[in-house]
Amino acid sequence: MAFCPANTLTFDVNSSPATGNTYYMTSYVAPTGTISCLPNNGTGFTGSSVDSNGSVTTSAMSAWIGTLLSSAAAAPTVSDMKANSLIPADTFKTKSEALRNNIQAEYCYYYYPYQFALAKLLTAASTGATSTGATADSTYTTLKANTVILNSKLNQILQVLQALVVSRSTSLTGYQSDSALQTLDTDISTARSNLQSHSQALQNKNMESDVKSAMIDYTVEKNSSSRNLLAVYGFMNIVALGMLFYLYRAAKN
Amino acid sequence: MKEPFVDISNIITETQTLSDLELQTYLNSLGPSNTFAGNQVDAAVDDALLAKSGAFRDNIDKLAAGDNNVYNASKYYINAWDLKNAATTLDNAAQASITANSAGTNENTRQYEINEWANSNKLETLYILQLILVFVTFACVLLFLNINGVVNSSLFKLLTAIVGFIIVVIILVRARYTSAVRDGRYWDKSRFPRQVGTNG
Repeated sequence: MAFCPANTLTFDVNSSPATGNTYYMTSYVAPTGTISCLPNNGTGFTGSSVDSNGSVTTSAMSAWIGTLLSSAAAAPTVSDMKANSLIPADTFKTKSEALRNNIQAEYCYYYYPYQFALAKLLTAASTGATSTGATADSTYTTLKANTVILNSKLNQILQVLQALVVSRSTSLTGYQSDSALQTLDTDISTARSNLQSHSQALQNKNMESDVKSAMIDYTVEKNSSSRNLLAVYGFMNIVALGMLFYLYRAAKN
Repeated sequence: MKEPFVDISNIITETQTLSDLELQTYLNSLGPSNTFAGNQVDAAVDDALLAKSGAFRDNIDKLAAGDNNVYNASKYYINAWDLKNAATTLDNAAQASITANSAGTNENTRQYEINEWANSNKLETLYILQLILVFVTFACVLLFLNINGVVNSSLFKLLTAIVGFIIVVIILVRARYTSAVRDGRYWDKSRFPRQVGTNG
């Protein structure tokens, strides 16, 4: 299968397999630091949690999904998102990807033994090796029971996957209805309108400032002109006073 | 010719042997049916696994999409948070700029008023200088006429004194007006004593 690496194992129905072979009912061992996606250390849901159709009950699945997400640290909360940092989001991305890979690894682990067991079982059924005389053949009975167990594990992994998908959808819906996120949207809208109004005011203020600067330049020019006139009139007064003094001296003489 | 003796037991044995061979041949003829059954087993296994694989692939893809959606939602939230902070910071800067600009505008306005007042004061000084020039020129003309005997000395002194007095009065009135009545901010505005019975 494309999503599973090619099978390199040779399965054996004997619990003490020949050298180089693998017993097909060997349980999956989760890598260090991870847990199986099936409860009870990978053995799957107990009989009381599974109905006659093989479906896991909602309560048992919810409880296990919570435990699984918590153990895998792959459940971002709204408070994580409010951390004002990309770290929780990046952590979630890494952890959720690891969880998916672990689930896929476990599924693939049971996939090939199930294929082996199912083929063996059907071959036995088709060749009539199901009974020895009047009694059922014990090897066939064991093979059938083990095939059911493998099938159940694969089905339970599928149900865990489906529950995780629902969980993600629920998380997204939760984000949408979170009041803090809605407040944030409102805050952004408010900040945007404030920026617009202040930008407009700033432009108006700049225009007013330009006009005032031009008026100052105009008054400076006027002062300069008046200063020149004062100088001219001051000089003319001095000349007039000199003339008056000259005439006064002339009148005296 | 009549056979002398027939061993019936041999006949039975040979018959059984032939019958077994026929049965064996018949059983061998069932070989293709076993192959058919084997093919059917493979097909059944493939069908069962195909359905299971399809379901797994479908759900693992949905989960990946869900994880991506949650991740994108997280990034959206954080980006929105950053955007809000940036917008708020920018808004505060704009507000500060407006305040500073208002202060600058007020300073410009005040500078304009100061310049206007100073210019008007220069014009007032110019007016006084013009009066003095008129007086001195008038005195020069009278003195010239007095020297040439057109105007006698008494008339010269009288006219000079009158014009001088008028000019001094004008200068005093203007000086008093500027110091006591004229507004210190606006040149053309007068300050009046507070009227009784009003808050003005």
